Amino acid sequence: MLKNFRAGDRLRYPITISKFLKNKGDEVQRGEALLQYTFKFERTIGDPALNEERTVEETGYADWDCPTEGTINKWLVKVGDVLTKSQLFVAIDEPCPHDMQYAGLCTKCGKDMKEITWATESMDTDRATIAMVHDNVALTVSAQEAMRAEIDLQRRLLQQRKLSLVVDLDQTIIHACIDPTVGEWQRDPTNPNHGAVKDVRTFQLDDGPRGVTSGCWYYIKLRPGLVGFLERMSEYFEMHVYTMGTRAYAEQIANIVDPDKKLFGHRIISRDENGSVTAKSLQRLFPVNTNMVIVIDDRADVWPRNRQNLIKVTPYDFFKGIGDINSAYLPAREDALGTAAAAAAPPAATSAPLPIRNGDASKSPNAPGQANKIPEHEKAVAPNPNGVDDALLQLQAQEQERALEKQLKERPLLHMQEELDKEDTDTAESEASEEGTTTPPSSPEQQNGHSPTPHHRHNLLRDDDNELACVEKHLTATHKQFYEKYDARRASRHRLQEITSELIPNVGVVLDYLKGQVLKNCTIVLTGIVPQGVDVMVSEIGLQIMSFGADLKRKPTSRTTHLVVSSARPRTDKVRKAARIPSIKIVNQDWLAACLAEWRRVDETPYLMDINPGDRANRHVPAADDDMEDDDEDKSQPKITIVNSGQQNMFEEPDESAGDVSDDEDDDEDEEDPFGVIPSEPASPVQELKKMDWDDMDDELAEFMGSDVESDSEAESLYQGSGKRKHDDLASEDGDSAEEGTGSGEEGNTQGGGDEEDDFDELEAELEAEFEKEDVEEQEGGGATTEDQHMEG
Amino acid sequence: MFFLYNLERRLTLHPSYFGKNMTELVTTKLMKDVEGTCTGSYYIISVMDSFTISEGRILPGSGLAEFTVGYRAVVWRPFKGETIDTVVVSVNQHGFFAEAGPLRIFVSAHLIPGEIKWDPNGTPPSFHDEETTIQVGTHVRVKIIGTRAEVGDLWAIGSIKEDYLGYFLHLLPP
Repeated sequence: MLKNFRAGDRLRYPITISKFLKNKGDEVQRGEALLQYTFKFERTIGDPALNEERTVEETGYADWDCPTEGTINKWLVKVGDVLTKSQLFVAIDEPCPHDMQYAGLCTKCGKDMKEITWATESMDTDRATIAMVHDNVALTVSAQEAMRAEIDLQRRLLQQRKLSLVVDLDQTIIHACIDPTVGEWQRDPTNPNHGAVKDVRTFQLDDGPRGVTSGCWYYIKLRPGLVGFLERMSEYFEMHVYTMGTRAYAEQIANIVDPDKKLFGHRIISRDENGSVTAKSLQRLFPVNTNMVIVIDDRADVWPRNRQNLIKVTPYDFFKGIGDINSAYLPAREDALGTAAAAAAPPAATSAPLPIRNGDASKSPNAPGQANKIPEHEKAVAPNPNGVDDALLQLQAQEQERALEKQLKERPLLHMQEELDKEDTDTAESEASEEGTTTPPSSPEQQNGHSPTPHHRHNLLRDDDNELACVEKHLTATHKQFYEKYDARRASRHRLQEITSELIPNVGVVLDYLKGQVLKNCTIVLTGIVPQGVDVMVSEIGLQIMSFGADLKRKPTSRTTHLVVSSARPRTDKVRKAARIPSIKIVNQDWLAACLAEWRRVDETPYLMDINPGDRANRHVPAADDDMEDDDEDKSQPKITIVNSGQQNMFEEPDESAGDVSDDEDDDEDEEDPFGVIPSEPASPVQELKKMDWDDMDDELAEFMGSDVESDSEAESLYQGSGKRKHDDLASEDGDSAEEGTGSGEEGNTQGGGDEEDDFDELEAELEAEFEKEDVEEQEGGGATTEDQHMEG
Repeated sequence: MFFLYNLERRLTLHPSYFGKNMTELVTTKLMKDVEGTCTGSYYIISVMDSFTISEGRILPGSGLAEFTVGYRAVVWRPFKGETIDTVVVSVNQHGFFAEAGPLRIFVSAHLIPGEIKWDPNGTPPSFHDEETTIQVGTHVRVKIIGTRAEVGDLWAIGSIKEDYLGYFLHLLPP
């Protein structure tokens, strides 16, 4: 293998080549002198005490030592050349290119690659840096070797007319939990959940000593239709498992899903070999190109580099509120598009997930056990691009362990079922109270079309997921499209046997095209879905909507086709605004979820929101219509026709200056108005006040402030990182401030924000005082106990 | 290659263990501490005998007693050029990993005879020709062509590209 070597940066340039010690064809050893060169340098001589110092220029002679062993193929410099900087020097024919290495050893010649001598200019380990095998990070290959391996792979796949499919485990094809309640339900045929959990699979991960969670049972629910799905997909795809769980966990799951190892074989990559605990990357497995790889995962944010290849599936949430047990190191999920039913579910069910969110089962416990299987050094070799330091990881691991124990002890599922049973008894009352309100029905059964029979115990877990059928459809469609494109390209070439990279279409582009057709020509505005302070354009859901071809806008305009409303907050400012434009379909988030899952524009009718008649009525006020048109950023339509109770009013749109437009954009931050009462264009607040429906607003405010879930999230966002006690206090204080709010309605709603802030300032002061008091008490308490001890002593 | 080796180690004992069975405690602790470890150039397989336990010396400040224990142990050191029997644990397109006790050896496709080809479509994937199949669980005779040591671990590269090397018995995967 021919390799060119550079002179190196450590020489004292400029240098002059004076003599070759070895010539073409000579065998050389590492560290042997190859040539002689001279360089000039200045030296200070003389006695500094007598001030007789002077510098003289001298000539130095030096040898250049061979950095490797082999045969000299060619000198790239001539005797007498003057080099001013490092440049290509000599070409040496090496017996071994060291292009595949295992833990610092060349796999071809067995030499130690970590050896450094005075002659070493670059590390030999740099010759092979790419880890591309699934189960070992210590085995690395060079770029050429990786490319060769990948071309082999692509050629083989094209021959079999397959693609690569990378499959995530948790919440994509399975759902796991360790809550022992599941085991109890499984053994108890009278339990309402028995039917749903009876085919849940279990295994024990016993890998060395650890806390309470040692050897606990894992309950694995396969997504409905999984076996058939994988079987059929294996005809079109070569499948890989890529999970954030540990290796032991991944292998257990693979055993359940694929006992014969026919589907995944040994193509399993887990957190232990990933090299990063926060992100997945296709480049880990396919370092050169990902043109033939599709990913299915329930999270898009863990694939920062490979969004194009990703088919995002709806998370499989069978064990309600458990979440992904292997997500503790990942950033908190922000793309959750809860269903309307979930949003309206009882507080117990929705608040429960929060504490357990990070509850992970397998995470830390496995790490020590894994050390037996994967030598410590191999882990150390794993590149850590995110630079997460070990101390932090340790901390997270401990946290995870705690969360895990919590799940074992607290049994969230049991509590939720109890809550559900209790609620059943209250159903009649709650239904009565729901009359006339705009909130969707509170029991999930009604949303799912099961009409509950009275005195029937509801089951918490239900087995009604059909996401895999959709995913299968998308995958086959993509596969078909890809090979149609490939065949077309191939047909246009004459030399059929030659497969080049430009002949292979990029499956990412195919996916983009297919997805882009779904919501084409839709202009979508979201409200109440993206949390306050998050830019909708870069939010997870926003990116997804745009990838499906829709035009995402911040504010409703006459061009908007859909307004997607969170059913938890059905009456935001944008809803009011959109309600005045009849062409906008106001739908709940389930419509969006259905579109994204089924890859077609589903019929909006079942998802339309009931709009408060008060909001619609606003359009009778002409001034309001003017307001609306001020918001309209669309200038290509100077005239807007508004259907207004049968008669048509034509409005000449006022000329907007460019400044107005930018103002509009600046205002975007505060548009997610949780109260839904602050007018979007506070040009003249006093004027606005006159036409406000105060009763309506007070109701709404009370409704908002009364709801625990809302105020919780509000408090959290304002007091991030504050203690739990503080949090609780705030929740109770919120109730107070709600009363204040309703009482002081006349103060004007434009000051609402300010009031709120003042309230919180007060609160903060109060809390601080309380903390101090408590501290004092604690000290006193401590004193008392020491006194007691003294007494005892 | 296995050796009987005379070694020495310093052990400390907590004051709460001071008593008449101290010798036994020190011996047990020694076994627990050193058996199965890798010093960097060899693995200590088993502690044999000939314990010479020095008098305990109290460490100033902590109260722990320090003993110097001389012992004889069976150690295993893999050498370059040594031929050993291994079990294949993982196979991929670049070669296979084989384990000989605590040592994991990688045999690259380059050092597998040319007629034994990589077959990615098999279940499980394997290297095979007409007679031999190398997959997970296969017993393979390997010649070590290079080792590298760091404190706590050893790695090796192997070859089966010579006469009398390679597949010698096939057992079903565990």
